[in-house]
Amino acid sequence: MSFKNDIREQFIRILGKGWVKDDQVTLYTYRCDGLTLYTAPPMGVLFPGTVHELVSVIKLLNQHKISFIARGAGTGLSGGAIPQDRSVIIEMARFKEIHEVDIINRTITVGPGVINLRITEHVNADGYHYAPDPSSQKACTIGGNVAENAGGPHTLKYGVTVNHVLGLEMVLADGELVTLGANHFGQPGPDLLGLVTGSEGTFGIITKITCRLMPNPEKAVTMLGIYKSVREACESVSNIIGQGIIPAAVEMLDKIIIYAVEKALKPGFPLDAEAVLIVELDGLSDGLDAEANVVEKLLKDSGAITVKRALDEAERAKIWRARKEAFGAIGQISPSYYVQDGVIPRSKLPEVLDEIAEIAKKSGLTVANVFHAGDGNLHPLILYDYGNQQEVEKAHAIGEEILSSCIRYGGSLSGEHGIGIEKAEWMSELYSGNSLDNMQNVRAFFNPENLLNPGKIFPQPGRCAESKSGTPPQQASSLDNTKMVASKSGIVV
Amino acid sequence: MSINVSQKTVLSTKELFRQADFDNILKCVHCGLCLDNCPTYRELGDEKDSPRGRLYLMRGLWEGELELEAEVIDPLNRCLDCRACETACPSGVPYGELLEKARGIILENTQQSLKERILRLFLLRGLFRSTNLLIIASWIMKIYAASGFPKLITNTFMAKLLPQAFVFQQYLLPKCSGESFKRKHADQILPSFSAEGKHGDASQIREENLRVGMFSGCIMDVSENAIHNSTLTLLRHIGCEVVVPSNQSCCGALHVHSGDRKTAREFAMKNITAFNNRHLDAIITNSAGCGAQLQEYHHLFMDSDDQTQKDVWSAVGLQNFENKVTDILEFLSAYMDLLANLPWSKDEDIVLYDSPCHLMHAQKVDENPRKLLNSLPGVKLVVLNESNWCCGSAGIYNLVQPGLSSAILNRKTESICQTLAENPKASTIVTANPGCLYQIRAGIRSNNINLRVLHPVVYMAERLMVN
Repeated sequence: MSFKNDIREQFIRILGKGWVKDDQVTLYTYRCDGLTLYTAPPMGVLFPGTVHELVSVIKLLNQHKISFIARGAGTGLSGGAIPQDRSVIIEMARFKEIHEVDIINRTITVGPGVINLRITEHVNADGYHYAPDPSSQKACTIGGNVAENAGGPHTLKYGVTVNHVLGLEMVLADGELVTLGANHFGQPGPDLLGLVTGSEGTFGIITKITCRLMPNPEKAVTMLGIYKSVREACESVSNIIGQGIIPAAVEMLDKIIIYAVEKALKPGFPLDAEAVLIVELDGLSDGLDAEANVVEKLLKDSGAITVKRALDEAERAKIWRARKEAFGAIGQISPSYYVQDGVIPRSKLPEVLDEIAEIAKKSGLTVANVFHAGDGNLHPLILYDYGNQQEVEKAHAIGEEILSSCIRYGGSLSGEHGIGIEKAEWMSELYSGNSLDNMQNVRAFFNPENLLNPGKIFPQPGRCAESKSGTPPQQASSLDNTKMVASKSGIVV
Repeated sequence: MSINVSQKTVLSTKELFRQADFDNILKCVHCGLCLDNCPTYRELGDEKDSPRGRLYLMRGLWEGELELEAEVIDPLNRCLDCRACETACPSGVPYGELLEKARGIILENTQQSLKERILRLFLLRGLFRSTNLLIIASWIMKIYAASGFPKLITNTFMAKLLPQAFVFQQYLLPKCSGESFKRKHADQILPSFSAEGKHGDASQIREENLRVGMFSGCIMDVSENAIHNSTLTLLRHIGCEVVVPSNQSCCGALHVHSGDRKTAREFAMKNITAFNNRHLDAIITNSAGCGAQLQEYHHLFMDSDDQTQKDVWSAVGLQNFENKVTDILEFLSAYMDLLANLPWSKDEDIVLYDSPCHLMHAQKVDENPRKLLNSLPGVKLVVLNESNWCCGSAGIYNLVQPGLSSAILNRKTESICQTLAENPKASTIVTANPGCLYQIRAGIRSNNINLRVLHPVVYMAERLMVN
């Protein structure tokens, strides 16, 4: 089902003919994002080029009560940009302007379609960078990063997206343009900016973002610990952090990932290792080598057979490319993968990794592990053949078993990929019905008619796992609208 | 280019793709890391004009979910085949090979537009097949250039009256020589200069000379002869014997890129035969696009149904031909010690380096040419901003997709201007592929930028102080 003729005409009047697409082939390519396990085509795809055009199409969509959803590069892994109920996709790729760089105040203001890595490239010569570095940073957009509260390896020391966004401009579901935050910290009142960051496109469509810039560290030491067992590698992580050392990043890759990245990118990881741990320390030059020596000893004490250090920037880049492109490298060994994003207390890493290995063994599918060990943010990759229905079902089942194991160990569903459609039903495992209702009330304040990215984050009524209290989201969204509007004026700038 | 689609065969789309050795399509895991490296995606921002989107379409065809319809074929045709996505891809998806196979299936099984059929008949299957026709065409172009018409069109009011694409094509015209390089040197053994005693220091030359073959191409055989002459000079100076087989033909890259695998196979056969039994240590190309094609001839014989061709290929193709094909810059970079002994100009100069897509992304040759040029006395090599970015030439893409091509060229021209602003003393920009050379030169001329555009070997030969 494409646009109705009269509505298409109106979109064309706003955007021009080339920027309104609803042919079957366009819909086909927009039916999934980085998560290919679920597919659903949109009603059409719109490509606004200015805020004014965006506001106009949103007003029109709102008028016709057609749901819609913003999409950046479509690299998300929880299906955040997969349309439910034939939502219209608003492609934000054209918003790629870098508006303002303020080196003195260490901020940069950009359009949501700007690629994460471009920000760092833009200010690198001045000695700055944008800290959150999701593995897809060379392709993913900053708008999507804010929507998903993206992380990355270096968030262990520097924090995730929410810690690096100072201000936003966004369009609400009714077409109202609002500004949240500013170009500095310390806005009084409730932290609406924090609320919006990670709301997965259900609160509004972001049109401008002011990010913090971080000075580049004077020096970085990147080490590679090589292990004969995954367990020992996991134990090392707690040993380092238990000593009061917070590395910039601690990443683990298991044997299957080592094989895949060696095949694809040849970073020089030993193929006979069971696991490698990438540990990066950064900061002032003074004392960094001494700290690295301490870490090296800790790694060896916890079972590392060798510890190598990257000798130069090229070697360091090679290690990081292998780590960051590890998901993609899976294409070398399996036609499809399904990645989980569970978080656990890092002290539980050894037990949970053992359990994952057990689950994999029982199921007969392969599960590879490459993850942010320092954060306890797991990324088990379940390898399956999408053409084999049995394997598809098994992949789902393994994913669920792993998630339930994460929750059992006191963890959570998602570290950085978001809930999307993928884990929506699981939210009721983690939260009480009351909590879920309250969250949906907050969403209803921004998005009262659930037109923005519907079907995401929260369990859907009518599906097996409804929110525990049984309050359907429609009811939640109709709560106390007048009060909401009254406080809404407070955020309009 | 619009396509009047009517499937010509009784086989289903799925069966056509299944026959074509297309399993590598499964290597794409839809991660999207290629997106920002794709010139058409950056221009259009549309998923189906990204490498991932195009692979998804090809996978849809392969799985039988999509049919060979214009809406599916158009985005596949809009691809430059620059293969920057292959460099970005962590999964090792052989994108170019898959696209070229898909285009082969499209050409064989759908009806082409009249414009495309004419272009194919006269250009790809006519002109490029015949050295005589190429020589005649070269003469005509040489006279046309000498007549002053191109300048009249670009420099006067006519530029405003005529279609923009036509005006731009005047800037694109290659410098035609009216003679064929391969016929001029037909099959002689051109000895190394040291053997001729042209310059004395025999100690720098190997005892046993290498013998290399030179690939002369189609358009390059009759135009821009400075490039071939410089290549020849440099090879002979480092002590190589050079042979230019006269019965060689076009490489077929333009044909493969546009889906005409049959004609390309015919050329492959000719070239394999032409270079066979000549006791060559290497086959040298100075055109990145041709080099990539010659190194990938094996793709063509994976989905060929002609058993004789396949047999010839497996008997001599891989060993005696494909594995010997080396780009001139890559080849020279292995003999930097010998080059260092030659008498080079010591004049200070700044040179901007552009990486042709088919050198960097297809042949995976990038670092060595830069090392080579940087090693020249007095030369400071500056890598162009976005050096790895396509210039929009892409074979005959600039003729069949003029709009997108010029948008992509504009980006290249902007990068050149930026780099030039940071290095105002730069005199020259070098690029190792003729298509890129014409395109970048056209971009520079039409924007009145004061830079010379040369093939790196021409620049090197200029600095060689021997006559």
